[in-house]
Amino acid sequence: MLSKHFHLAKNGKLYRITAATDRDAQFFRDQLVIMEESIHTFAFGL
Amino acid sequence: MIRQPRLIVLLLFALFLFESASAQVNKNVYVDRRHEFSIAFPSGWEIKKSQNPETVIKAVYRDPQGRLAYIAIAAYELPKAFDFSTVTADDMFKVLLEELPDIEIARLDHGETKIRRRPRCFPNIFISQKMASCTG
Repeated sequence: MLSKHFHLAKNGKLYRITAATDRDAQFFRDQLVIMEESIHTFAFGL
Repeated sequence: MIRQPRLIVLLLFALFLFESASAQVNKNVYVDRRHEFSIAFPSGWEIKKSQNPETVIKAVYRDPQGRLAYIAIAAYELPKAFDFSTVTADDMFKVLLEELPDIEIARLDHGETKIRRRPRCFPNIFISQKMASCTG
């Protein structure tokens, strides 16, 4: 696996957001663009 | 007969409605009421629960060649006195090493990024193929 982890803390909890793919560097790079775009929409509060 | 300017306005309005509907369908938004967060997963990715108790939710994509990609969100209880503001990417990488002692992990990159204008640390790591069966 190839992965990138983001860590956030809120209300006494650690949140780990993992973006991962099979072990294929080009596939990982391509998907990471899409995954990071998604992860940047993450928001606390409803 | 409808005059041409009015027809154009109607067509533009119809196009606006169509675009709005498409955007809503494509958003793939997940809202978690327990943890009080939301995220828009990539369009077309399958949102799944996990058997791993710490994993709150994940979104999975498999391409035509069968390669897997996923985004997983996990939540862990922090000790009460824990001060996250002093935590670095080094600390988080050590936590990963301790958490997964039997897994080959190499660090490729790390740093800070911003999610919604708030800084977040990320250790960017490589995990061996053995990890595949251990991720939730």
